[in-house]
Amino acid sequence: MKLFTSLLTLLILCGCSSSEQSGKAQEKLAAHSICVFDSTNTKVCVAKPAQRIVSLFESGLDGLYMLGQGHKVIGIPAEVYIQPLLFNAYSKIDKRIANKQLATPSQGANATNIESLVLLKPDLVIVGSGQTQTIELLRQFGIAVYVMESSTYQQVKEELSEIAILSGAQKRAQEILNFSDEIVAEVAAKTARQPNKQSIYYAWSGGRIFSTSGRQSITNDFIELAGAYNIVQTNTNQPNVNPETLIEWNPDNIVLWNTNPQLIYERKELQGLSAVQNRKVFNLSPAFIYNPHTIKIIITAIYLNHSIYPENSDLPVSALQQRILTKLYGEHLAKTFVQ
Amino acid sequence: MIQIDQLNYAYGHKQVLKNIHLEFPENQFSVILGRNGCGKSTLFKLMAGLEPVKDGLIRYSGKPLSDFKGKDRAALLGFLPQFHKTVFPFLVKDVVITGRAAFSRYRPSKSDWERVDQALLDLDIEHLRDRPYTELSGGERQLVMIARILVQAPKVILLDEPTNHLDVYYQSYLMKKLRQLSRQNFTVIAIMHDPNLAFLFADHLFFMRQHEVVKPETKTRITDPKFLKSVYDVEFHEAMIQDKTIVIPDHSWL
Amino acid sequence: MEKLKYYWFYPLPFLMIFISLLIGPTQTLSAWDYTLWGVQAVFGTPYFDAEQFRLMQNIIVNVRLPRILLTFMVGAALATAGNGLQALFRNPLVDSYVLGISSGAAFGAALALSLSWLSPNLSAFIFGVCAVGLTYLFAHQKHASQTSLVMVILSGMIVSGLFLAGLTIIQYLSDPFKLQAIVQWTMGNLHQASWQKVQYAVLPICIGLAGLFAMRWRLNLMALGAEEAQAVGVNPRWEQLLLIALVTVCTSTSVAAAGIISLYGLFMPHIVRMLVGPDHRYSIPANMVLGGSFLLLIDNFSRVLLTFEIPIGIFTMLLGAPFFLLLMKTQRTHWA
Repeated sequence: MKLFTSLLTLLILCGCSSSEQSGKAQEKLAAHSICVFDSTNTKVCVAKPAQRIVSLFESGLDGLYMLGQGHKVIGIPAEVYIQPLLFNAYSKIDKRIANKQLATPSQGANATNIESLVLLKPDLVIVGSGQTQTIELLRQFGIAVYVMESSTYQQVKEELSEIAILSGAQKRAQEILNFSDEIVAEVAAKTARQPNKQSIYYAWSGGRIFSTSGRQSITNDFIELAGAYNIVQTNTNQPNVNPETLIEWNPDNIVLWNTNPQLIYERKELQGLSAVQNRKVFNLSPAFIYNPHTIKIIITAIYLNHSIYPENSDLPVSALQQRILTKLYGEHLAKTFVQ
Repeated sequence: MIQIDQLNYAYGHKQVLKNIHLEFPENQFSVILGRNGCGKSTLFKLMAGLEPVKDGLIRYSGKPLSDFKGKDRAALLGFLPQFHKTVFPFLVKDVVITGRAAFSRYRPSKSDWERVDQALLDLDIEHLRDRPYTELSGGERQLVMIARILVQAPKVILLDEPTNHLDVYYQSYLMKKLRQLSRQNFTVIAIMHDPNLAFLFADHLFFMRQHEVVKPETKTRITDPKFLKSVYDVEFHEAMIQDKTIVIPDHSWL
Repeated sequence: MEKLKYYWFYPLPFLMIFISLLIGPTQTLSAWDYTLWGVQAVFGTPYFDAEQFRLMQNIIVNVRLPRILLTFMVGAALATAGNGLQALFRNPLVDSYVLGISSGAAFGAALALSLSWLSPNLSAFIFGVCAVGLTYLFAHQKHASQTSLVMVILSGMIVSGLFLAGLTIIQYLSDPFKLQAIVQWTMGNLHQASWQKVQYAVLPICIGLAGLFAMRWRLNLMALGAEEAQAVGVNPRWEQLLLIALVTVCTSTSVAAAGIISLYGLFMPHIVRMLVGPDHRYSIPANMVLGGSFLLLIDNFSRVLLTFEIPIGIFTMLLGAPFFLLLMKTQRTHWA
């Protein structure tokens, strides 16, 4: 019995001491190093710009490629291999992904294999805010963990520049952000010329056309950036509407995510909607170039802006999209994304 | 009416019935007696068709039981199971009319309801007609189940220990009714373990001991204490009351 | 409270449907407006201009009517199936989900939503039926002359557990969008009712209900017990299989059309039994009528109270439970 209690106390002491050590390690770094505050308001520091980066957050991964830091990526989230849309896009960006050479220490939003991740010896890990246990564990090991959310346009911009700081690409980040501000200004100028602001009803993918997004969501942000307003007025993130309510609201436009607009045109009860009669149902596809959790939200904004307010002097939308994609990924890749 | 030939039955390796030969005559009240565990209940199950016969033959009017199906089976054989626990508070008349389930497919007919009333009358329980079954006493429930069989009107009625949970009033009442039924064109066969009731009311008696049928050496005296001792392992004394013989267990140790 | 005369029930569905057509969440048009619309439709008095009239007609015919019909059918199917199973198992604590149907259907829907190979409703139906088949297969013992009902309930629990484990795995491996879709489907999705769903559901549910209606007297016999059935010369085995098949069809179609509505098939038969008694010749039709009407009533509440849709399963408990408690306390029950 005595042996048992002494062993137990020894184990407990070991447990305590290791967390102290990692705390001290971080403090040493903090003295002369590169630091940012991430979305959980934790100070994240690296001694020098990160060279081995594991990104378990797909939008963060995208950001790294846009910043030109893709060669530093050594680990990606598993959904890049599993989801055909993502795999097609990323295969074009990085050959290693096409050949399935990059490690994937995670399997979906909840299942991160800590061991394989640590074995990769990363100096920076980018994670989505949902994986609280993974974040804690990794920080205890003394690894720099940057937590991303990208749930509003403002946050998308902040987090892009913070990743840039951590990986040493501040100049490039500034370039991108200046460019996106230009685009947003152009869109705002065009919107100002319109007599009325139009409304948009957004429907989620997978045929759940009565599942929409409220006023506090990233969807709302790109609707506003596009110069329209969200017809849903509640703050609930993903409410379901009664079809009657939708008919009553009669939105000017309907925007779908990666869904065939036929699904809307076929519904008998929606025939009376002005959006259906004027054929103003727009589909955001291919989903990769419209991902609102990255700076590509401006592509979404510009696409919608040009679709709902067509003007005679407009360049075709595809040209505008190419311009932005070229800025973000380079001319060669930009063409392949929209094929 | 019912002939059982060379019937053997085993549960796994345990032999429960050994070479049973029995014949039950028509329109008579027959009783099978024996100790607990001698195989009477198994015999009952085989006769009622609850278990399949594997070794031997049970014939009803010359044909094996398995030849009777559906309505024919219901017209031939009805039995009273030992335990009946009901969860739902059905009314007595609704319980009794289910006896016609084999004949009326989807809903009982008018003549079915008339049978129910007649059966309740025959058993003197028409005052229970609209009472919930779950509120009745053990004896009343037994009678309701018998009314159900009457409504079914099979040629043969099998009963497994029908007097078990009944008070003295209902015991003699029931035995009287069973004998009356045998005179009304039914063949009644009951399994019991109380010898006296059987002696008083039954026409024919059969005994089982340790998985076999046993008969007394002389046909005359089934109440012979020596014979009964071999069946029940208890010392008995005979006594005559009016024209009937009964037996009482030995009480000399008092 | 005396047992209600059962013939009062028959006009009830039509009344309920009529009232439900007038009820809706639209904030600008009230029930009175819709009544006027009805008058205009029949008599031609011009209360509304042509466009408004057409709009209201569109709402009534294409939005409300299919949802009302689907709700009624699902309510009737679940209540009657629950009643049938309670008779079969002689246990008033079962509903049609005890055979594993709900877990199988949820798993089927999740699989379809995750892999996009079939429509989730069809997949839910198929896996619901598979679950019952597995339950019966596990419970079947060769040497017994018939399947013990305790074994069936145990197997049902095992099958439920297996499918739930599968469902959890799928949810664990799904990305947030798919996960949201799966969770929303499982909670109940009557608000996505359309004429197409009504068309798919009407035939199986009508077949199931017709079969249960035909068997209503035989359910009395089954409820007395298997041995009691054999005692009067009836072999209960085929009837048990038939009953389970009918119940499965009813429940699987309901789950496929409307997601999982918990406990409705459990307490609705009890409410009906307290009102009309245990005789299935009355309780089966009453379950059809009252089961449909009550679910419709609950759905009306959920439509009126909030602009945004909350799954109906929540309301069945919030509204059904107090009513059930009230009846429990005021009725004399004769449970043995």
